Amino acid sequence: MSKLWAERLTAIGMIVVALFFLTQSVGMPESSGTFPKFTEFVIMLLAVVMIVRSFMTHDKRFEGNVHFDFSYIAMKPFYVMIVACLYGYAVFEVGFYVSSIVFYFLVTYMTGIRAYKVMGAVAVVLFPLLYLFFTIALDAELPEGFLL
Amino acid sequence: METLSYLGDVISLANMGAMMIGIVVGLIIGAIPGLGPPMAIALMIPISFTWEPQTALIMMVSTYAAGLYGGSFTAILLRAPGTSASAATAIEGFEMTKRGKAIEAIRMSTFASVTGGLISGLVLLFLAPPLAKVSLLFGPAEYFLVAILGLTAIAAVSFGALLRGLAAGMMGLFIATIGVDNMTAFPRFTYGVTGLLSGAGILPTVIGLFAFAQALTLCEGSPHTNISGVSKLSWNIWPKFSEIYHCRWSLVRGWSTGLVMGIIPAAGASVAQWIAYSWEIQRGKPGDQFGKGEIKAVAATEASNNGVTGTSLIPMFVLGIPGGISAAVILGALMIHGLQPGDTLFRKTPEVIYTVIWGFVIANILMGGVAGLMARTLAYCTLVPRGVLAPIIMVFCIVGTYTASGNPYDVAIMTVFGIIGYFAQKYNFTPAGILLGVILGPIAEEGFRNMLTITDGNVVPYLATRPVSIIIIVMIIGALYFALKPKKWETAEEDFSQKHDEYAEVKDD
Repeated sequence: MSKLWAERLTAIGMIVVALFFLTQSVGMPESSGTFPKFTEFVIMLLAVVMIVRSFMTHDKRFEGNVHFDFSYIAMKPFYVMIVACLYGYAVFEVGFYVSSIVFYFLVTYMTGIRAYKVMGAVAVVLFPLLYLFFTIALDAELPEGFLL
Repeated sequence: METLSYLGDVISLANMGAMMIGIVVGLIIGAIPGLGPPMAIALMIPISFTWEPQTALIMMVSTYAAGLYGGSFTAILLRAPGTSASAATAIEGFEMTKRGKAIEAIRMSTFASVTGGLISGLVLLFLAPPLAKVSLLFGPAEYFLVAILGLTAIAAVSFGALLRGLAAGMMGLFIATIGVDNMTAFPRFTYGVTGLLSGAGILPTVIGLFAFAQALTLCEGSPHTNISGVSKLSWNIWPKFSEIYHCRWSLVRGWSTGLVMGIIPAAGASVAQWIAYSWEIQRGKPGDQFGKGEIKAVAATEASNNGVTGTSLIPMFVLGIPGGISAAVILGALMIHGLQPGDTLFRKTPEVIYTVIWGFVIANILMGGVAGLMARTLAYCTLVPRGVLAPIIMVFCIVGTYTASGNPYDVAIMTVFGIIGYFAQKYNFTPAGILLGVILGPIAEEGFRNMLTITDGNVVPYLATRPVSIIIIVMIIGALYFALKPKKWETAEEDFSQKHDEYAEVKDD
């Protein structure tokens, strides 16, 4: 897909999303919906300008094609995103410290680090420090699930 | 002069000890995303119950100044601002770190913050009562216009992707409407989710858009390289005269922005930094590297966010109107120690208030030394491999967000913003624009609706009678003109690229 068409599809996506929220704003009482409607209209206007500009001007930034790379290296951040979302959930179900330790080792491994001694040394220093600082010094009640 | 006579009262073991505690605690807590000065100050209150009022308050104001600066460490080193007031610094400061210039960024930020806080403290000391009257000139119309002025910064920080930057700003404004409407109590775009009733929140937004998104970016590429690409750090943590001279006007612009914005309750460092940043971009010269690590931008944003500290205490001390959360916490501490804000504070207990303000001034100076040493130690984290640093940053994001509010939904919101910030950065949708919209949206909307209520719809005649409104409107027009006008440093870059392309064609022949 060319970058030009990617730009147009992005703008169309913005219009679709803004229209969706506009339909929600219409049903709001009194002046509650005024500001959301304003932002949605402006987003749609900007998207239209983006589409028109893509047909009218020659911009070097839109030359070439979009490259889709589904290799592990390219998709690493997406896999980490998924793990991070699960981690955010696990913090409250399992417990902050256990989830964090598992998350740390898992993501470090996923990024490609294989220096297990370094990973272990960092964990041995980091997590007790976290405990001392947040739980002891700040007296913060960090989430506990069926584990710590 | 009477004011000067209280300087000697600061120099006691108790006061200096309290000051150092406040500085160290403020710097450490301010550096951790999510915690920030209000939490640091609140932690100090129970410790200081039995202390003398001036000793306790010296500790609070020192914590405030240091906490605001502490957020800049992680902003520069990791693109993880400790406070929302350091978000603009994160943009340019981190780019400098990527170029191996972390220490240069930190020493300039230290100098700018120390001098900004110092000047702000002196203004507080000598001009507090008259300047307090200025803050009373700001009503709903002025708040709305100040928010619009702040939003013009979106155009400046878009760096060539103007349409996408504006779209990001509008998305931020829209996101700011999520939650219960303050005026009608109607839940907007909450879809029955309890956690969305209080809205997105500035803290989860800042942490997500910058820190969490940056951690995701660190997962790209080789995990063994570090952020800065260097293996050694410079030991010179003290600013060079040549650097200060190079940034002299940027510092002046930053200080003046911070001093003025600090007087306006509710505006504060979060707004001041963006106005200083956009002003700096507009004043850029050929050769400046805005968006790629420009030291002048770091100087301006840091000068402004600590330039706010002293003047933001003026409405609180003189009128009892806290300018922000930190000032509100200090106000609470003031009252716990039996002091009432207002004119009586200056007339009946001058030995307390002026000693505290002098303590604030001296704390800013000492903060420079302590911060320099701490920053040098913290800078080692830029040598840690990316693959190890990324999950550590994410853990701190989660713990910082949760500790700040105790609300699990904030953790979810922060994660969502992290994902949004990652894609926004990738596809030129300026995360800073989204953040600006989220910060300024509530101020703009509330000010606008209050203004419509007061004027009964007749906005223009109302604004025409308010000199402060007219001044801000002129500033908005000027800011828009300069934001949209091609900048000297942008055209110089394009000229260079063109010349470079011409050379390439000749070479191919």
